[in-house]
Order: sequence, then C-alpha cells, then structure tokens
Amino acid sequence: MLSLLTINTPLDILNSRRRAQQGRLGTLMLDTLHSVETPESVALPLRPASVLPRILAFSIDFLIRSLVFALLSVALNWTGQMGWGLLLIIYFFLEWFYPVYFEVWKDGMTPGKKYLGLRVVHDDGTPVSLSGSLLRNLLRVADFLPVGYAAGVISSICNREFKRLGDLVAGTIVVYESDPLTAPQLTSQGKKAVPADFSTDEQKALLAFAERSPQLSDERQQELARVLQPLLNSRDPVLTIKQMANSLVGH
Amino acid sequence: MNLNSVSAEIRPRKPWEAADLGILMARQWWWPLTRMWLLITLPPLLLLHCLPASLLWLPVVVMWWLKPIWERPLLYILSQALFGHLPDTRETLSALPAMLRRHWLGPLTWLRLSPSRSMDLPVSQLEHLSGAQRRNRVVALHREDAAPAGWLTIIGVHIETILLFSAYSLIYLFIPAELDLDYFDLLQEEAFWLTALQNTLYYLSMTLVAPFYVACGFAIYLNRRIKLEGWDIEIAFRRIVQARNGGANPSVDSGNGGAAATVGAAALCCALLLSLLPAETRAQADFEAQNRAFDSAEAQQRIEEILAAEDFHRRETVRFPKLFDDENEIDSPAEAFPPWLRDLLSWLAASFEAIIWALMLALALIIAYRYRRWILQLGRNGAAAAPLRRAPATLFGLDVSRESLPDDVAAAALSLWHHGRRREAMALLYRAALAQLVARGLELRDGSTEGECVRRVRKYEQPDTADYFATLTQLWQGLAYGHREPSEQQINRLCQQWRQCFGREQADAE
Repeated sequence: MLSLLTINTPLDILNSRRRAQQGRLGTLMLDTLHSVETPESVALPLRPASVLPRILAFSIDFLIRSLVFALLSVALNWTGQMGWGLLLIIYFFLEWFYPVYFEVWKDGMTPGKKYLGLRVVHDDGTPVSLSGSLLRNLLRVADFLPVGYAAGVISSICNREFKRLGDLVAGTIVVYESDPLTAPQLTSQGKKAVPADFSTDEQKALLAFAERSPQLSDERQQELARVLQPLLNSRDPVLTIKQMANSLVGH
Repeated sequence: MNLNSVSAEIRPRKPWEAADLGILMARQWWWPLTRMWLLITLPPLLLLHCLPASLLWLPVVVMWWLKPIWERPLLYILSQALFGHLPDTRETLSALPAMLRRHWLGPLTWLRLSPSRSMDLPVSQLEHLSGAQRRNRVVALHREDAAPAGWLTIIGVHIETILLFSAYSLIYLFIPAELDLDYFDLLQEEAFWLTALQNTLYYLSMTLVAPFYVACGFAIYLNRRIKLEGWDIEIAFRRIVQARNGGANPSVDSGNGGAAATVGAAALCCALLLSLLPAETRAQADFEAQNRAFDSAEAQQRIEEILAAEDFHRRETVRFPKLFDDENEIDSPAEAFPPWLRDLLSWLAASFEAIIWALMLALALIIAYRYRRWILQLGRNGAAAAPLRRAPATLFGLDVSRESLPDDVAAAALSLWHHGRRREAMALLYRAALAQLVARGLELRDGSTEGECVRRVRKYEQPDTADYFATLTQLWQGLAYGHREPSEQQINRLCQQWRQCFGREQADAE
C-alpha cells in the first residue's frame, strides 16, 4: 500500500512535502494542497478548489435549475391554481435538494461541478454523506447573507481550504478531480543507465524532463540539461537525460 | 530570478488551481498589498471629492478607469515577495515612477476593457516588453490555460458588486426601524454625504477585491511560465546536483521589513465620511417638525379623521374555498400567443389537469383497496370482522368440503378398515376432522403443514379436541408417510372419540 502510493504520487507533491518540512522563510511554502493522513500514515494530497471555479459551477447549476423551472411553469401555468401549488412544491425541492441529490448519489458532483472538474468530499477525503450534504446545502442560507453569497465568498477566502460556512459546519471540502494517470509519451530513441544513487524523486525529475520536453523550447532544454552536466559528463546532456528516462520507463 | 528562494510551491497546476494559488498569495501578503493600495489611491480619491457636488459621480469613474495603474505596485510587491524579498513601502514607492512610465496608453484606452488584463500586466511590467513583442508574447501565453484569466475579471466584477450591495444592505439592516426614513426620497436627493457614502463603499469593495484580482492574474501567468519553462524541473535538477556536492541550500534572508503603519489617515477619512450620515438626518427631521404646527380645532378634526380611518378599525377578510367554480374565472394572459398555439396549450393544459386528477383518483382507489379491511371494519362499528376468506376446499391435496363426506364418518371409516382398506379409513377420519374444524371457523390455509394445523387447533380449540386431533395426526402421518399401520384397538378408539368430538356437529349440519 505504502510503496504503491509513493510511486503514484507526482514528483511535485513529494517535493512540496519535503520543502514544507524545511520551513523556508520561517513559514510553510504557499501551496494549494490539503494533505490528509490515512491510518497507514500515508499522506493523501487533496486539492481544494477556491471560490472562483465554484462560482462558475454554481452559475451553471443555477442556469439548469432556472431552465427546468421555466419549462415547468409554462406547462403548469395552464392548470390553474393546482398547477401553481405544484409549481411551488417543485420549486422548493429544486432549490433545496438539487445539490443534495447530485452530491450524495452522483459522486459528489452536480452538473456544474462536473463540468469544472470539482467534487464535494468530507475533510478526510471520503465521499460526502447524506447528512453532510444536507447540512452544507441548508447552510446556504447563512452563506447567502447579506446579498449574493457575500458571507460565503469572504469565509472561503479566510481559510486555507477555501471553505464556505456550510463547509466549515458540515466538515466538507470541494476538491479538484485528479486527471487519470497516463503512460508517458517519450519520443527519443536509445537507452542509458541511470546512476545507481538516484532516488525515486530524482528519477521522477528525469522523467518529467523527458515527458514535458515537447512544451519546452530547445534553448530551455539545453539550459535545464546543463544544470545536470556535472553529473552526466556527456556531449549531449539533453539526449542523455531523455535516454535515461527511456530506460526508466522500459521502452 | 532565483528559483532557490521562491516562497510558493512551484509545480505545474491545472488552470483554476493556478488562480487558487493567487488567492493564497494575496492572503499571505494581504496587509502589505492593501497598505500600498490605500497609500496610492486614497490621496487622488480625496482630492477628487473636492469637485463641485454636481460632479461627484466623477471620483468613482476615474478610480475605476485608472485601475490598471493602481494595480502595478501591487504586482511589484507580489513579484518580489514570491522570490523571497518582501519590499517595504519606500522601496515600492521609489520603483513606482519607472512602473508608471512604461506602457500606459494602451491599458488606459483600447486595452482597458480587455478581460485578461490581470494576466497580461506581468508581460509589460516584469518582462519589459512593448509593441509587437508584447503582443506576440501575450498570444503565446494565451495559447493554453488562459480561460480563467477572462473569467477572473468577470467574477471579480460580480464580487465587487455583491460586496457593494452587501454593504448597502448591512447599513440598511442596522438603521433602527424607529427612525422612519423615507428611503425613496433619500435616494432621489443629491446630498454630498450620500454620494460620498456611495463612493466610499464602492472604493472599499474595490480595495477588498484588487489584491486578490492582481494576485490571481499573476498566478495564472506564473503557472503558464512554469509549464513553458519547466521551473519545477530546474529546481529538482539543482537539488540533485546540490545533494551530490554535499552543499546545503543557501538560506535566503526574508525581506520581511518592519511594517510601518501608514493608513491612519485612510481610516480617519472613512470615519469622517460615515459620520456625516446621522448629522444630516437629524437636520432634516427638525425641518419637518417645524412645518407641522396645528391649532387645537384643526388638531381635533385631524384626530377624528384619523380615528375614523382604516388604521383604527379592525377588518377581517374571511375566505372560504369555492369549489368547482374556478373554471369560470379564467383570465387569459395569453393574448400575445397566436390562437392555434393558445388552443394547443390550453388543450395540453386541460389534458394535463385531467391526468393529474386521474392520478389522484387512482391513488385514492389504491389506498382504499390497500386498507379495505380496516375501512370495512370501521363501517361495522368495531364489530369483529367476519371471516372474509373462503374456507379452503382442499388441504394438502385432501378434499375437505363437507359434501364429500359420508353421513356417519366413524361408521364408514370402521367398515372401510374391516374391509382391509386401512389407508382409506384413516384418510377419511383425518379428512373429516379437518373438514369439521374448517367448518367451525378455524383458519387453515391450503399451504399449512400438518404440524401447523395441530398448533392452530391447540391454540383455538378445546383441550380434548386438540389432544384427539394431535393423536389422529400422528397416526395418520405414521401410516401415510411411514407405512406403520395403527392397531385394531387404536382405530376403534379413534372412531369412537371422533363421534364425541365432531359427531354432534355433523348431526346438526344435516
């Protein structure tokens, strides 16, 4: 379990943990991570989402709700008083239980959140429960105060996990979905052995260089590779690093 | 640029996550940023309030228009603090002229409404690019992950507005209801204090949003460069080399200089603007009081008028449901629709209504059927329910209807026994006993086992009948399943007792 997770953790997150321990500038490094420690003392990185994408997700959900309500009111407008009664009941459920339904039974994602790659989970990363979801959505009343979710916006800026009041009370957090891991796409040919004293993190750095080289300009690749030149002692350090990466992946 | 001393975690992030880092940066250095903002924006704001009252809309417009200028020192602080050196006020102010001189015409005119302003500012200010170079660089940066920059501006405008209206409604909530202000008249009036209050509130919401806006734009720009230039790779490579050389990371002095309090003036000014409100209101109230001087006769008349008016009378509206009359009072909001559409829609509506009523009716029927016993029992005033189920005609495949039985069961069974048809004799006895029990009203289901029958008989019948039935069942089971025939003596006793237990009733039934 432990080794598996360590291998799957991206380079940057491992770095962040170590640098946080070093405690530069007397404070923690600024980072958009919220680390949860499991009983097996494995650190699971959650990536809390700020108010910015959440406002967009809310807007999308609001549009969907309004559309449904508009269609229903056109249909029910012609049924007289009873239609009005039904419409009001439907409005109540749409307003209060739309997020709860999607959060509890659709993997913590309303359509708007799904579009933006967001998900509601408990603080410890477990799926949100019915009571948690009910609580965080009922407290929208508090977050809305005094106008247009002003309290929620201010509250989410005031803590590191970007929690609005409902999240604070219900112990929930809105996080980014992680992209599925894909096999690295390496283009260069040939293999070269990695020096034996390279740790896992250091090997990951070599791999990251090779993987992201299509986005880097040639000059920048040269510049980066030259940093490692004292250890490599090769005529073409860029190619050497890429070949080392090939041997790591097993091409 | 020294990546060793960077104070935020350098790694490629998703576009929105990058903007989130901006929020964290603005949180971290909130006070230095806000302090600088107040320092350079408050003097012009106050100066603009010296304009004549008819021009007091101008300060807000000017402050809004010059936002690209006000944001530059904030970006300067952020860019320095990110690399481990938080500049103090004097440093920032001395760097200010150079910042303002560069590339100011575009941002204040044709680029003023560009939604990606926050992300593009670092290109001109930090990379010192201008003209075609700047344009190309911006295009390159916008190639990926730039969508949040535009949305950031839209969201920022909305948050600013929401904060402004929140401030208004908070003030409204905290004005006591006894004050009885006529808000409509108040807002019509062009008082200095009112305009100044509006300007102050807008300025305050701008002050709250600006550091976050600049920092988020900077973070989006930063993320783009981290990806384009592999900053995180450089950091990792340098660390590899350092580890091999045995060199420790060079420690960096944090430029966290003493933070001089420079906003005393700002706070004072806000207090001034706000304190104008109660004074003005008081003056207005005095003025109105003077106009209301009545003599006593007039006053008496007024009092009577007032007492006669609606406010001093109790009026009740009692509503009764008016059933089935609603169809007559259809008022049609449908004049705008063409007639065929109106017909179609009202047909749809009528059928929808019919469907709903049908569903309601069906629901009522289902409920009635589900609880029919309970309802029936209610009708009989709590009398014991009659056995509604019909007595079963067969039990375990045996015919237990009375018609199939001979008149004298015991005699018939005995004669069958003596003719050697022992199985049939026992079957007849058992079958007849069951038939009698069912006829007495004992509820036995077709699916019951023999054992269940015995238990039910024990529960509801006399003990001797129950004993007899138990013995009979045991002997019958022994014969039927185990092929153990009862003795002559046993069969005689069974027949005899059958008469005692069930014979009388059979005679009654004849």
